[in-house]
Formats: sequence, C-alpha cells, structure tokens
Amino acid sequence: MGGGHAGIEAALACRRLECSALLVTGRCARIGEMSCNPAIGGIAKGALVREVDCLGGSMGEAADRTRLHFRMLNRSKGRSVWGPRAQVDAEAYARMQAGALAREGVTVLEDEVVALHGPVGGVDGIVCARAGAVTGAAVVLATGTFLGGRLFRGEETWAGGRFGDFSAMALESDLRARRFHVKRFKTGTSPRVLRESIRFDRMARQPGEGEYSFSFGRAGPDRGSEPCWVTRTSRDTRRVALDALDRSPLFCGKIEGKGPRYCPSFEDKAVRFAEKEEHIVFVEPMGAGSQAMYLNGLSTSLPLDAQQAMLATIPGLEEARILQPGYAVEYTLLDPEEFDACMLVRKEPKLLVAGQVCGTSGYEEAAGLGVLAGLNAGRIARGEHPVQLERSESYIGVMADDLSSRSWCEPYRLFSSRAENRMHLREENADRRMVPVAMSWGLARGEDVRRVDRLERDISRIRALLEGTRKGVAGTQLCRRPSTGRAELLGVWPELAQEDVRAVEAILLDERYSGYIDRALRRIDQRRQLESVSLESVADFSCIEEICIEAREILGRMRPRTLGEAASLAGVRPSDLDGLLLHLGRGCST
Amino acid sequence: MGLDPGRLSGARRAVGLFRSGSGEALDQVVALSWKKGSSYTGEEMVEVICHGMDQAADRIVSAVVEEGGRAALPGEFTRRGLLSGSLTRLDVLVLGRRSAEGQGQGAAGATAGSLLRRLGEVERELEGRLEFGEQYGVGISREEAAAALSELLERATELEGVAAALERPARVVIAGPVNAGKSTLFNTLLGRERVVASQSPGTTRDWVSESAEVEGVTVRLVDTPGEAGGEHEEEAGRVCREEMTAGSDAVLWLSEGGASEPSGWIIDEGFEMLRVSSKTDLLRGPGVNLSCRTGEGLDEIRTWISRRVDLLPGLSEGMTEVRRHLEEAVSALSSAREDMACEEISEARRKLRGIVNGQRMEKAVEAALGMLCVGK
Ligand SMILES: Cc1cc2nc3c(=O)[nH]c(=O)nc-3n(C[C@H](O)[C@H](O)[C@H](O)COP(=O)(O)OP(=O)(O)OC[C@H]3O[C@@H](n4cnc5c(N)ncnc54)[C@H](O)[C@@H]3O)c2cc1C
Ligand SMILES: Nc1nc2c(ncn2[C@@H]2O[C@H](COP(=O)(O)OP(=O)(O)OP(=O)(O)O)[C@@H](O)[C@H]2O)c(=O)[nH]1
Ligand SMILES: [Mg+2]
Repeated sequence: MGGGHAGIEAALACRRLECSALLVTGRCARIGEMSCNPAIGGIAKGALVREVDCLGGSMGEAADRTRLHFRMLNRSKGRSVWGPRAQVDAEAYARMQAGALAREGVTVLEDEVVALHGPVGGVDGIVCARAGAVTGAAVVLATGTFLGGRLFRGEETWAGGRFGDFSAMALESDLRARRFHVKRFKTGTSPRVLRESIRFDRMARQPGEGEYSFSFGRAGPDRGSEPCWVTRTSRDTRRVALDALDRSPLFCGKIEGKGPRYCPSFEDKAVRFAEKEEHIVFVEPMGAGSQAMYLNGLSTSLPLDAQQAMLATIPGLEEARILQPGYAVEYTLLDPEEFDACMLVRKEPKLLVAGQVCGTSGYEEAAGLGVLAGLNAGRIARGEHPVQLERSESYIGVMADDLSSRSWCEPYRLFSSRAENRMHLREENADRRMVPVAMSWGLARGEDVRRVDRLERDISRIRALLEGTRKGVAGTQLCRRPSTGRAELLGVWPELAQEDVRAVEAILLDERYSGYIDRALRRIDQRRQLESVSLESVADFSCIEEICIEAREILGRMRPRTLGEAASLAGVRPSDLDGLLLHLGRGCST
Repeated sequence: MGLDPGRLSGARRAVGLFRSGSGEALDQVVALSWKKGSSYTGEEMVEVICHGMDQAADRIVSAVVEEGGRAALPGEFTRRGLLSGSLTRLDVLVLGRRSAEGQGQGAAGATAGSLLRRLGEVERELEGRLEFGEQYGVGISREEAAAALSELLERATELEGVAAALERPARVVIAGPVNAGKSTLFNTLLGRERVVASQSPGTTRDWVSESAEVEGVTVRLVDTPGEAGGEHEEEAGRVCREEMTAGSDAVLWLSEGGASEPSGWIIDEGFEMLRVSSKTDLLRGPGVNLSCRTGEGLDEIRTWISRRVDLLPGLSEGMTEVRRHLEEAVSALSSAREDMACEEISEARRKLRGIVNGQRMEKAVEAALGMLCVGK
C-alpha cells in the first residue's frame, strides 16, 4: 500500500527475493513524488541512502541520475559525519522511480485501499475501492501522510494526504476499528515560488561541488550543476509571523498532532528562538530549468496573505509570486509500540509497516524502512523467518530499533547522534557494512558483491603489510595518530601509492576510529542486556527496598517496561539497577 | 546561606515589607526568588533577607510557621538539592568536607553538578553544529565551543584535586567473640599470614589494620581482639574501640555457628553489618555460612565487602579519566574533528555521571549530610 518512498523500496525488495509484488497507490502519476523539498541525503541521511542502495534499493541511483546540485555537508567536521546531499529534479526523480518499478516487474494498481482484509490477528490482504479484495502472503502498509490526512493553511482546512491529493479516511477508520493504537502527528512544508519573480542578485549564490554518487559507481551522466541561493529572514519577517499567529492553525489549537522539533515551521522558530534575529533560507530549484523554486527553511501554515507579507521582508523574495503556498498536514500513524524491529506488526503475522505512517519523517527514512519491510514481506512469503539489522552496523538498524522500542511523541528524524556507533556508520563504508548481509538475504547486486570482495582483499593485504614496523612505529599505530593522512602514511610506506586509494583510506579511518567503535559496541551490548530484563512483573516500585527512595519515586511515576528504560531515566543510578536486578531475583552478576 | 554573586544569577529580586498573615508589617526585606531548576535545591524557592536584627528574623520565622511552614532540618536544603538532581553526591561530599573543616559555604564554584550540566549543554550545541550547522545555520562556532571546553577542562581539573583529597580506602572491621576465626578470615582475605591465628581463645590482643584488594577494590581490613561477650564493655576498651572504629564503614560479625548476637555498639553506632556463621565445616548456622577451611562463603563475603562498603576508591582516578577525555576533546576540536570531540565529551559525561552517582557514594554522602548545619 503506497507509491511513496517507502512503498517503492518495499516492492523492489520483494522483487529481488523473486516474489511477485503488487503496489497499490492512489494516483500512478504521483508515484515517487517528493511532497516536501527536492533533496536527498544529508547528515546521517546520506549514509542511509547508501545503505538502501547496497540492499538493492533504487533511491540512490534515482538521486544520482537526476541531481542538479550536490554538496558534501560537514566536510570539515570529521569524516564520520560527512553528509552527502543532492538537490534533484523532483519530476525526473519520480519518473526514474516509476521506471524502476516497471523495469523490475512490480505490478502497479491505481486504486484506494479502504480496509485491510481478514479478521483481527489474521490480516491477509487488502480491500480496494474498485478492485475489491486482494490477498497476498504479506501486506506492507506504507501510506505516508495519507491516513485521515487533513491539510491546514491559516484558517482554512480541508481533507488531504498532501496538496492536491486524497485523504485515506476509510482505511484509517478500519485501522481504528481493528483497535490498533494510533496517534496524530503533523508536519509542514514551504511555499514554492516562481523563479522569474525572484531577484537573485540580492542573494548569495551557492554553487554545487564535487563528484559523488550515492550508488557506488553506478552514477548516471553528470547533469551539470544548477546553483542554489541563500538568503535570510529578518526581524520584520518574524514580526509578520507573530502578528499572524492568531490565524495559525498550529497556535490556535486546530492541529493537535505533534510536529517535528528539528524541522520546525517558521512560526515555531519565531516563537521558540526569540533571540535569533535571522534564519537562513535556501532557495532551491524544483527541477532543471523548472519555474518553481522551493524555499527551504520557510515551512509555514500561516494564511496566504501572511506568507506573501513574510516574503516581502526577505532579500530577493520581496516580489516573489507564490506558486504553491506552504501548508501543514496532520495525519494518523501507527503507534510504534504496534510493531517490532523487523517492521512486523506484533499482532498480525503477515502485516508490515514502513515510512511516515509508522512515525518517521523524511524520504530517506521512509526508503530505509521500506527496504526492511519489503525484505521481510518477501521472507514471510517464502516461509523464512523475518530478520532485523544490527544497530551497530547500520542506520536502518538504529532507526528500526529506536522506533519499535520506545514511545515517540513527535515524528522521528534520523540524526547521526542517534547511533552509538556513529563513527562506524559512515557513508564511505556503507557497502562494506551492508553488502555482506544483503548478499546473505539475496538482495545484493552481483557487481557490488564483486567490488566489496576485491576491496576487502586489498584491505587485508595492506593491513598485513602495515602490521609491520618502520622507523620504530607499527603502520597501524601510525594510522591512529591524529595527524596521519594518506600523504603522511605514504611518506613512510611509499609502496602504498600503487594500492587502491579507497582501501588505504578505509584502513586509515578504521584505525582512527577503532577506539571509539570498540567503546560503542560495548555500550550497545550493555544496553541490549538491560533491555532484555523486563520490569513488567513489578507491581509496586515503592516497596523495593534494594533501591534508594528517590529512584523508587521516579520509577513509580514513569513505570519503565525494561531495565534499559529504567537506566535511561534521570535520577536512576547504576546501584539502583543492581538493586532492581537483586529484587527480580536475578542476582547481581551484570 | 550567605551571598555569593554566582548564586544570585537566575534570581528575581524584589524589595518590600514583609507582613504576617494578619497583615502586620514585620520588617523591610529583600526577597529573591528562583524558578524551578535554578535554585540551590533545584526547587522553586524564595529567600528573604531581612534588614533588622535577629529579633526581626525570629518574628518572620514565627509568622511563616504560623502560616503552616516549618523550620528546615540540618542539611535539608542540600538533601533536597540532591533529590531534585541539582546537586550531585560528589558535591554533597565536598560541602560536607568543607563544613567539617570549618570552611563554610562558598568557593564551591566547580560543583560536579554544574560541570555535568555545562558539559551536556556544550555537547548538545556541538551536536547541533554537526547535525544542522550547514543547513540551518544553528549551533555554536568551533571557537566558542573550544573556549567553553577549555573552561570546563579547568573546572574538571579543579575537581580532580578535590577528589584526590576526598579519597580514602574503605574500612571494614572484623569483629566477634574470641576464637570465632576472625584472624583466620583476615589472613585469608589478605592472602597471607599477617597475624597469628590459633586455637587458644584470646590470641589477638591488638587492633591490626591492613590494606587489601577485594574484588579489585582497595579496602582496609581491621582484625580485632575477640570480645568476651555478654559483659559490659570496659571503659578503657570502649575508648580504644571507638578510636579504632571511627571512620570505619562496615562490620563483619563472626561467630561459630552464628551462636553469638552482635555487640551493642555495632547497632548503636549504626554500622552496616553482615552476620557470619563461621567454621561451618563443623557446624552450620544462620546468615552467611563461612568456612575458611573449605572456602565456603568467601566469595559472598568478598562481594559484600566490595559492594556494600560505601567509599570512594578510584574517585580521583575517575576524575583523571574525565579530565583526559576533555583534553582529547579540546585537541580534536582544534584539528577540526568535531565528531571525535563530541564522542570524548560524551564519554567524559558518562564517566562523571558514574562517579557522582556511584553506589559507593551513598554512605559517605549520608555522613556528609550529617555534618551540615541548618540552612545548608
Ligand atoms: C506537507 C508535508 C510536509 C513535509 N515536510 C517534511 C519535512 O519537513 N521534512 C521531512 O523530512 N519530510 C517532510 N515531509 C515528509 C516526506 O514527504 C515523507 O516523509 C515521505 O514522503 C514519506 O514517504 P512515505 O513513503 O512514507 O509516504 P508518502 O511519500 O507520503 O507516500 C504515501 C503513498 O501512499 C499512497 N496511499 C496512501 N494511502 C493510500 C490508500 N488508502 N490507498 C492507496 N494508496 C494510498 C499515496 O498515494 C502515496 O503514494 C513532508 C510531507 C508533507 C506531505
Ligand atoms: N574448622 C575450622 N576451623 C577454623 C576455621 N577458621 C578458623 N579456624 C580455627 O579456629 C581457631 C581460632 O581461629 P582465629 O582465627 O585465631 O580466631 P580469632 O577469632 O581470631 O580468635 P581470637 O583472636 O582469639 O579472638 C584456629 O585454630 C583456626 O585454625 C574454619 O573455617 N573451620
Ligand atoms: Mg584473632
């Protein structure tokens, strides 16, 4: 269900496992549409796109072949947090994705899913408005922002999953009737303006940079680089926003859903960051030579006149003509407690979920979970047990684990800091991390397998050489010094000049980060141990004498489900965890 | 509580008349109010500073009591600060020590609690810089972060010094009737024949203390002369005992087959105690069954000693690690490796949190709270 970023990757993963796949979507013409800004990647998200690529997904290649502008974010802040980000041609991107579905033999059906098929606990298909019941070995729910979707702009509100699209009301009622726990979240988007109406001479030009491809070595022809533009809001912009607050659906209480803290609307920023006089706005093309420009950083659901008045205060946008105003969407999602880290709904052995409908926000997040859900749908169809990804090995694993193990009260966006092992989860080594697992699950491309194989062989050979000592230092030791780069290494080991550059780089980075990675792995292990101890059997924390009084009080109030959750509460100390363990009769051995 | 300018930050001030419940003007006062989270105790708080002499203060206090207030207990403010998380256990120890040394309030600029909080803030800012810096222009600059970090490094170094001063090995007394096997246990825990053990009752005449490693923790073990039991403690013996047990943290009470009740002083003086039935290869008893012959119960006793004894071995070592991580963070930042800097700060925080909240702190903290006076 769903022709968005999650649904597409899920269907493709099923096909890789040689299962037949049917993708049902509201409008075929809008498959792969980017509802918000036309950019793929970013910090952590860039690495995630590469993970999707290595698991056989198509997002990376589609972005490579349609990109207009590229930047490597954080280039000067440490290799583990580099963030490749591409501005793409939104329409061309959507066409590429639709093309991938056709090429891989996914059957596409244009229809509206109005209900799940089968009894509670035995869902085995869907019911479509026109085509009626369709059953299958597994079902993936990837309906994005469409479930009971409502759009808001100023005092206007109407039903819809996004601008100009329908709201999946019937399906939402069905999910509620089946007693799934659901929540409402909201998110918003920025106005798009007419290119000709912008005074670019009043803004800073931000050229694209560098050669890069998300899909390892399968990049399309370089489409040349279109510039992006940078401008800033001012105190006046803020004042306009504040003046219009009484007509904002967010602030007068029409929207109840929680919005993303990290991608706030401009009116949110105006209220929350009163001390910040200006906010950066990126003006980004929606397509090559497209008339529409996206105003990244100006997400808003204020009334149209206020949006226009805000633009009038921003250098270069004074006269900008709005093609599509900003708006907010509020939608229903499945509470993450309903599914596990395989993306499998706990009480429905054949139902999986992915994308915004399971609490995330962002194309890349949707794609990553889509691959995982599709993979497991395929495995269920083939009678194999569902699998999950390690949080120490991939951002997808971090995301699936985070989502399913905690109750979130706002859309989940991926950050590098969500990963304990972020020093290891680099975009640079995504293929080394993912291709081996992808291969074992039948998702990997032959060319990727061969490349990674060759690379690993090179790496072992060079590493063996570097175990040796020269000028009194072991080569691996030398790599660990903060000042060592490739050039410094070659100074002592000149023969490495003939070796594959990537292999040498990989060793340098692995060595540089090795101490951090070991520590992170230990922490993940500890956390897993703690998470595995259930506290469900504790009826009353206040009478546990083994722990201190303040901890009893906090635990009684928060009622954590596992020792891991208890550990994350402020005021609960390691000794209290020991005490809890003692109380549970498990001994103090951890 | 005395005025120190640092403490006033975050307070709102007002000047006016303090009136009793019935409206009678009592004194001209300055009132300071703190919001939740910003006061000494971390709670919402109002402090009234009166101009008049003690009499005026007394009148104000009685007026407040009349309206349902009550006087604070000794150390209550600190205890509340601890409960609300605005003070850490380490801070309480430092305060207790200062108070014992008659230094009073103030000078506690570098509390572990504030260091922990500031480190958290700097880490969040740096993470913001990593995650959103280039796309949304948020987060602090590298220079600002470096400056903030160097300052925190200084505070950490200061705390490292305090920690070294606070550190002392834990002290566990082995007590019990004559011939219970105390000296044998003492030697066994030490791993060598330090004192004489023999079947004649009353072998040990003097208090002997020796440093030992128990499950990786350094402690001081004390062997004692056997107690005659039942009879009244002699004055000379009591003085000697008090001298020797002062500063001890726990007592192992040994008796053959668990036959003898622990002496009154252990309970009276509130020592933590473990009852041990000794020589259980001969006769079993209640509590922990110990036989130095067969080794039964030894592990249990070791664990108890290393866990229950609430002292601070490794405190300054821990603070040294915190300081080292911060040094690494500063140097990572100066070579444009924000990712590593964040990692180091986060490790420093974890270590510091472990130290200030450590289990071994508990008892020492209780003792420190006892040393504080009203108003602290
Ligand atoms: C207004 C708006 C603002 C956004 N702002 C941000 C932002 O600020 N930051 C950010 O990272 N992301 C933002 N996004 C989110 C981003 O667009 C999504 O995260 C991403 O598209 C989710 O992908 P998805 O595959 O889960 O769902 P979508 O891309 O929403 O796709 C859902 C698909 O399901 C289909 N569908 C739904 N219901 C049915 C049904 N009953 N029957 C048949 N087909 C159905 C639809 O036709 C569509 O093809 C925003 C989205 C919107 C709409
Ligand atoms: N069977 C047996 N004998 C023990 C054990 N522990 C100690 N003994 C013996 O008991 C006797 C007394 O042991 P000590 O360790 O000297 O006893 P103590 O409590 O120090 O005695 P005083 O110093 O006289 O108070 C010695 O002969 C020990 O060998 C044990 O676990 N089992
Ligand atoms: Mg003796």
